Amino acid sequence: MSIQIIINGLAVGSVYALIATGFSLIFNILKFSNFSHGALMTLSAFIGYFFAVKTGSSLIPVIIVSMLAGGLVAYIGEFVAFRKITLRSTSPVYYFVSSITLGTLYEGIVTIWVGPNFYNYPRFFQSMVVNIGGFVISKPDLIMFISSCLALALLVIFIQKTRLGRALRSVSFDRDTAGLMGINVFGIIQLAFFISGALAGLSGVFLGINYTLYPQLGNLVVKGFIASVIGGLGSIFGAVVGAILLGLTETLLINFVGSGYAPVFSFLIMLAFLLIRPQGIAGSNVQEKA
Amino acid sequence: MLKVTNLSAAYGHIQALKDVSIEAEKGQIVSIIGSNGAGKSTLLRCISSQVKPTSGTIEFLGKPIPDKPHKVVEAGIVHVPEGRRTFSGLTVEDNLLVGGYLLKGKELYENLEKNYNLFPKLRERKSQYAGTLSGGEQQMLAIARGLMAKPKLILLDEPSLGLAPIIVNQVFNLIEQIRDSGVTVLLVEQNARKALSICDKAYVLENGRITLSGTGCELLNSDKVKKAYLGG
Repeated sequence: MSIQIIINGLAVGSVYALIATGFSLIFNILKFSNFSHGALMTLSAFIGYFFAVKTGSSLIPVIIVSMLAGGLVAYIGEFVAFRKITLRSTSPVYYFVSSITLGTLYEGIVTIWVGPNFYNYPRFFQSMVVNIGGFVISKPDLIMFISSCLALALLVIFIQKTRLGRALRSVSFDRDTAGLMGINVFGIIQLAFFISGALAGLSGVFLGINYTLYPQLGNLVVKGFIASVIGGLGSIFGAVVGAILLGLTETLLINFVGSGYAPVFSFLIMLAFLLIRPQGIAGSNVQEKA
Repeated sequence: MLKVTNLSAAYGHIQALKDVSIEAEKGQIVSIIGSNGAGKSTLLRCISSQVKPTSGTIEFLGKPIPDKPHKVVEAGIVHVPEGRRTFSGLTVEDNLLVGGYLLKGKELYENLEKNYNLFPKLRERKSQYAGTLSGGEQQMLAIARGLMAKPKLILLDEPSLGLAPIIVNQVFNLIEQIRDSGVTVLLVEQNARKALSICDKAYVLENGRITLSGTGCELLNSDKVKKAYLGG
């Protein structure tokens, strides 16, 4: 029993990690919390859903479609909602207003499109469980965990080891100086939005499979936000650690206090972090960037 | 090589540059001296397209400079900004690699090696975060990062600012080495004596206007410069 709880917690945590990382990427590069991220998860999850229903395809193509859709919408969203603010370097408050508006817009589009109903992804698997060494593990959990780890590992390699990844980090640190190195700063910002949107698409599909699909699914972005705060806003490493911790804690709490009270504890943990260690687990790195 | 003609620039209503004309030939060190707020940095920021001039032209190798900062780097001009501005949370090596962003594959790593040979200290510290370096080392890193792009013209903004005298000497020796390697240097400095003693040509910028120009020697011996910038 307890091992299964841990595996479930890891799976949920890894999806939270995807959300938190998508969030952190934008926070790092433009220094604001992108509140449209949640609604973007919903929108791309629904695009994946209708693709699955229309074509009857398997999970992998659905994930790819959702990621591409998420990336593309985020790319356009950056141009429409944030580009002018970045160019004028005005107050970050405008980013918040703009991202909340953009999120409301996405959510509105989804509601008009699908109505306020609940949807279920088609069953992608014949059997829902696998048996590994005597432990019965839910197949979606396993796939969620493996794909999330894979996506995060690829992202870390990209950011740490490649030319574009280095450019992304330098733009996050100092946009103007990065431009003086011959880096097309807006190209890099667009790239960050595309990656962040693709991560939103991936996490959206997994959330849809794990729970159900509905227009307010994106509210689960709060979990990603809590994870980022616990881990340290802006730190991708912190976001992953925070998300895994949050996933584990939640799953354990659901077993001990029930699913009604579990979210209360998540928020209490976040508040405790904000009071005691506002810079989060990986905090020192973030302070330097501010 | 670089030809700035009747350049004016303003921040809002405040005129920062008025009818500035300067020229730099290949292989020269050209110094611009002047006090705080004279418009020296603005001039460099215009050349690297970070500030749009209100009038006047800037030509590099016979062509007008591109209108985006990153395109200016492609054209062969690198601006090493005031205050070093190294990427503090990136390692020394990553800073250099970012500097060579426009180079590809083998060329990038060959140039990295070349710069490590020019700056052995940076090789020793290559895996350290740039933020942990001393001021002098950060200045060296900023210059090395600029050289990573293989510029034809390098713009140096106050490279000696806030450094100990012995380090200042090293920086100026280095600037001469850069010139000797065939890179043209446009140097903006408050340390007028040093800047004039190494340069081929110099301009004095006061309140956004060029008030004096000549060879380094001429300006070092000019009474006006002596009085205003060299302490009598």
